[in-house]
Amino acid sequence: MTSRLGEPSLLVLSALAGGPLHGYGLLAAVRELSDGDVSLRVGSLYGALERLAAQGLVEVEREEVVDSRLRRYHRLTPAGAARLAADAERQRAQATTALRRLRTAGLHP
Amino acid sequence: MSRLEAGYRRLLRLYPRAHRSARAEEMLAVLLDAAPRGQRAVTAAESVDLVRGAAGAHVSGLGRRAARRPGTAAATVTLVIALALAVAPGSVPDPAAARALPDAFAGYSPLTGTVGHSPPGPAVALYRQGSGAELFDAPQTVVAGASGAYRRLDLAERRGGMQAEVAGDQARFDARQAEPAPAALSPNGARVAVGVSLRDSTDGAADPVRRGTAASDDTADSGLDVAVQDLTTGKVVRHALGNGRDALPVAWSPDGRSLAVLVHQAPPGLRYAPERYHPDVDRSGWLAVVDTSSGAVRRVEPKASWRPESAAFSPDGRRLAVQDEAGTLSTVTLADGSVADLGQPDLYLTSGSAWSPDGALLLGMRRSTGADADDTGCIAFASLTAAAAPDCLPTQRYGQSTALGWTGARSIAITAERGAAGDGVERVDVLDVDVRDGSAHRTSSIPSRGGDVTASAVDVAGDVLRFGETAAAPATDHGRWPVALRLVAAALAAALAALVARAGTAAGRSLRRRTAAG
Repeated sequence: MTSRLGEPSLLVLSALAGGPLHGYGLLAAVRELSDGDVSLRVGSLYGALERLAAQGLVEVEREEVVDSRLRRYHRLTPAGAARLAADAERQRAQATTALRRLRTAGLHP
Repeated sequence: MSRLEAGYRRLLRLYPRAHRSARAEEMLAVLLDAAPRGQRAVTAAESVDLVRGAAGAHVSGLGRRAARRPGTAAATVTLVIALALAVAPGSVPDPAAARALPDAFAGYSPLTGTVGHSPPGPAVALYRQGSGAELFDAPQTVVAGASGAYRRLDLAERRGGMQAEVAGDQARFDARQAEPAPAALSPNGARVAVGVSLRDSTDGAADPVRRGTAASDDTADSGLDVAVQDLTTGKVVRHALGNGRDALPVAWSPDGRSLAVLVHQAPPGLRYAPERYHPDVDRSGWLAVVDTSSGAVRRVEPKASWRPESAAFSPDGRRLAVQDEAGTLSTVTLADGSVADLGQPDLYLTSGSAWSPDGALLLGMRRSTGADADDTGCIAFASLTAAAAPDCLPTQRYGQSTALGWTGARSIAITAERGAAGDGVERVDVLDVDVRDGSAHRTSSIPSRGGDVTASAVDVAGDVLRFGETAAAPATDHGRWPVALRLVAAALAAALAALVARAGTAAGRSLRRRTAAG
């Protein structure tokens, strides 16, 4: 059985859906994806990456050394892409249901 | 390695070893990339995030074992979090805050952190609190940072000696009760000079009385020194002063470059002991003018067997007013060492900021004659020009007072003790006094605790005095708890962890039994 993914994990998967990113790029992409609502800190980001890697949903694409500092790029695995797609579909279905019920009750145009 | 990088590395060491070898360098690079330009130290939010991340990594690593031994796992997590919080660095105050006097200072707190552990940034004032007579009342020298950060000057506490060197019993008094060493803030509040008293230990070697564990880098390997600590970085520079036994920093030059230190052959306890009981004590001394940039020490000694008592720089920093134990006042021109004798005016010079901004007056205190019960002494002036000095201002008008220094052409700051207000708290007020008519208004105050802990040895940074501005007190920050208290808290957490372990293991066992039965 797969466990439910938290919001930081989903945002990381979504960010990586656009292509491989390094840690700092991921922080920026997550902020952008959430319209600035979610600003992950480094400890939280790596907590999420660690969990996703343990489930085989992300993997290291390549490593670079920039200004004598290690820069590591992460990417979605096929399992990660499938998982993100499934979760996005489930969210869309839930959102559709919610909107339909609101309209039926006359609470939403 | 920058201080910021060192701070991040320290926090990353909290992660499990396997995680660290796989991730630490990568995380460090991201942390440094993500830090805003100019950030010099780890912020409190970053500490919390990384401590939480490290605890999370330990938890997931424990996952499999936890299923078998839930109690041990829960206990380990509790312990890791407690220890992580015990060693994580504190928040770093904004060093760019304005340097006005806060309208009120914070009261005594035994939980105040130290300058050594988390420097407060430039300070507006320092003062001494706590008598050592009661529990959680150890004497502290508190540095009040411009940004509202309060820190104990641990350097002064470690260099603190006994005031009463004469009494053997006194010398054996619990070292925690020792008075902190005397300290003086630089004019811009960025640095603090800390003196020391060395006493002769039984084997004849000079040794300061120390509080807590001896830190060997606090005093020079041999001989006397004065220590200057940077309040933004915590870095300490020591300037050797030769063979004396007592170093008292009394004044900074207005440009903050030179430091005047009174150097004596005997600590105060012996120096002021009656001569008929201690006839052999060498009570002489000299004045050291230390160039804190180059480290050069200039020796000022107008005559042999001189007994200097106080010193203050002129506004242009070129001359020093000095006074000896007999009250004789003179000025020393630093360029050529020439001395001008000013006789014996009836006042004792206020060290540090005694010289008026226009160079015309010296500020001091006149002691009570004891002839009249109403005579509690007064705030007195000596004129350096042909003009007459203002009249002496009786201290009974303000409460027990001490002059701090000049705030304007004809205004001074004094401290004055104030009896308990409606809230039952006694205070030491900072008053701004017009020297022409003695009229005064309160600019700040330092609360005591329950009437038993009065602030003393108040020193306000010279620039803060001169700007004479007062602002609403910023939110106070007492820093991380002292290390000893944090370790006690961690030990309590460990005991709690042990209890959690037993409860968890028992619960796990009964759960397995029930599952097996079902």
